[in-house]
Amino acid sequence: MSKIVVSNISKSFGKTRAVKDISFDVRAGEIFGLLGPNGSGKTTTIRIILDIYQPDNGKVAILGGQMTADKKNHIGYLPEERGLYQDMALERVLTYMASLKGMADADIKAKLPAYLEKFDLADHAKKKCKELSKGMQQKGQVIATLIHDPELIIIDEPFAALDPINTQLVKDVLEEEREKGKAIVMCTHQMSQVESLCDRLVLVDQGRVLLTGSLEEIAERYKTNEVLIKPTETLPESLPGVREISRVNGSFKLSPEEGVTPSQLLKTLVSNGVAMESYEVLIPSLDEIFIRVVAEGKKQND
Amino acid sequence: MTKLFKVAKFEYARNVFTKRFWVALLLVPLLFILFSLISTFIAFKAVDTRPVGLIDRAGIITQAQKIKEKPGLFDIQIEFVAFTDEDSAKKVSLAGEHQGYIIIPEDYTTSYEIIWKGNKAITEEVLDFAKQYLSENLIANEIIPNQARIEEGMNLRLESLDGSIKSAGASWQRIIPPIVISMLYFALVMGSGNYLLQSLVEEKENRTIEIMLTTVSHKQLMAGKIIGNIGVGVTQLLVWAVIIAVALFIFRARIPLLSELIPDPALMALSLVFMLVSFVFTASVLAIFGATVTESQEGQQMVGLVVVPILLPVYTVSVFMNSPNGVLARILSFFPFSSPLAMSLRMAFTRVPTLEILLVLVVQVLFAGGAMWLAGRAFELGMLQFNKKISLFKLFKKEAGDA
Repeated sequence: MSKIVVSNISKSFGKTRAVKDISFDVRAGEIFGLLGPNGSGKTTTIRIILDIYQPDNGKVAILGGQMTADKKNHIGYLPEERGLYQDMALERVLTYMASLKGMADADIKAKLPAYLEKFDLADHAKKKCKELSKGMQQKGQVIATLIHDPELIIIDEPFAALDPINTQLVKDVLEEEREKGKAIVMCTHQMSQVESLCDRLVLVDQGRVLLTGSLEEIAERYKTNEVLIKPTETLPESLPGVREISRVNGSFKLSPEEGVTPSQLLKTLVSNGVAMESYEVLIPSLDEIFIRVVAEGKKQND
Repeated sequence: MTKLFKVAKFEYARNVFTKRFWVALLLVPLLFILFSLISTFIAFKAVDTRPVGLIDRAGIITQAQKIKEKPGLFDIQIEFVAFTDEDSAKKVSLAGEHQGYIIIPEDYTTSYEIIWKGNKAITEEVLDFAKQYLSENLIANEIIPNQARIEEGMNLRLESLDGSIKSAGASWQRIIPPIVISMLYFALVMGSGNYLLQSLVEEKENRTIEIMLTTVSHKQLMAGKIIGNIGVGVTQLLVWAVIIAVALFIFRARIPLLSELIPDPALMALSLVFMLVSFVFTASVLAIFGATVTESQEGQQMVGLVVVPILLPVYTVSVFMNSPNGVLARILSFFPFSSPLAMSLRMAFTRVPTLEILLVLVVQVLFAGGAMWLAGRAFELGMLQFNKKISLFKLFKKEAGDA
């Protein structure tokens, strides 16, 4: 079931078209990556989804329909530009934010200590936010995003300012939420996190959708059939079906001709008597796909 | 409880339940009382206690003046010396032995007017003693059977010794309530108005605003902040009112100046209404500034801009005393920043037509409503502009925004 359906939304600010005809959907029980370079229109898209901005065209269905005051209580949002009331105790700030999300005082009292414990903030609950490290404040904000048990979670750069241990903690928490059937939209520039967490993604740039699909689909779509081998003997200068051979850190990267698959390449190597220590099919990283797709998009735009 | 009231409660609590608030709150009246006591003491030391001549042409004064043998620390004694002819009284006054002299004219029982002759204005102390002495004699001799008229006191005509300057007496007590109101209003704007502005700028600076806007609507957030901070202001006023009441209760009997202070309840109530309506306007204007600027320092400068027009009636107080229903006084009454002080001053010095009071009130309510609408608009447009100021002109445009 789709928790967010974005249909052909556009938004301009004066002469600047921030979002152009963007569509995608986010389903229950998945982590959905909303990716794009800085200024690509991600934040505007999120603000339209959250009803902060109204789209010029198109529509958004959230949790089954139009945004209502009650639905806001079922959404957890961690914006990129974030902060807490610096002169107030963390516990008081989180209590206020949870109460604004419709939680009863008794519920807050019951749940908040457990969350503080889970995020290793119990000893810092009474401290003013300004006395906490950036990472602690970040974890505090993750608590504010999740404490009211939202159906839909939208998190922008959730791992910024976190050390590897806390990054893993937040990743585990997000995976738990996915297991519970929550829909999660994650914006990040850290492609390794997208690769390890996201089920599907959309890549936007200059307000347009450049790429959408599951990680497997995208990898399949952008695979190059290149292989990396480490021969035990000297490699022939040319091989049938191989367009280019290049050296990479003591190994060789073989770029096949159009239509030649990695298994056909392997057969060619064996039939040509090439003995190898290792053979690896190169799968392009999301980082490489991101750079390639954005560059292609810019070319098309120019 | 709706989100609006949750925001209002939070704004109220975050300001009121802090040491800073209570220290500032108590410090203001304490400093006021301290400076009042110092100035009272200085004024007491400077009081002219020379005798005053008294020419009774109405034949009212038959009782001897009561003089305390052992006066208290703040007790002032002014002796009246009876004269039968004006020349002798004038001679002694011109020699500086007496402050001046009072004439009770033959027609006092119909005019209720006494004449002060002196080259200095009659002091409040002389006036008090004269009023007291005259009342005692009128009652003792049963000359004026109407007790209420006796308690109302006499009318006063002032003349210099050579008769060249003449004027009607003015009561200093009238100006005290408007001055107190102006001080309270000033402190209210500087206090809770400033809290509101700072709270808006802070949410922009620390980026909590975006989370807030995905939880409550911008109208709920703005209205909640304004209501919460009005609550802070009302708390300030109540605490100060209690302190002033307690101070009056304790010191009224001991300090003669305070015993003269009998504020008109209707005037005070109307002044409070004007103050509250104008505060909603001023708070909304500060909220507009808070939503459109990007740094708290800029916000502070804006508070300074608001304070200047608020105090306009104080700078032009002589206009209100001489011509309370004049053009300037009327303009300042309708001008929303200066309205509460202008109206309280005017109502203290003259009778302002009821229709005009109502009209001013309606205009102020409209200004307050308009300012709140604009504040909501500023909030909508400016709150997510973290590094960019919003021009006030943009608030009136139908469609505006920026990515």
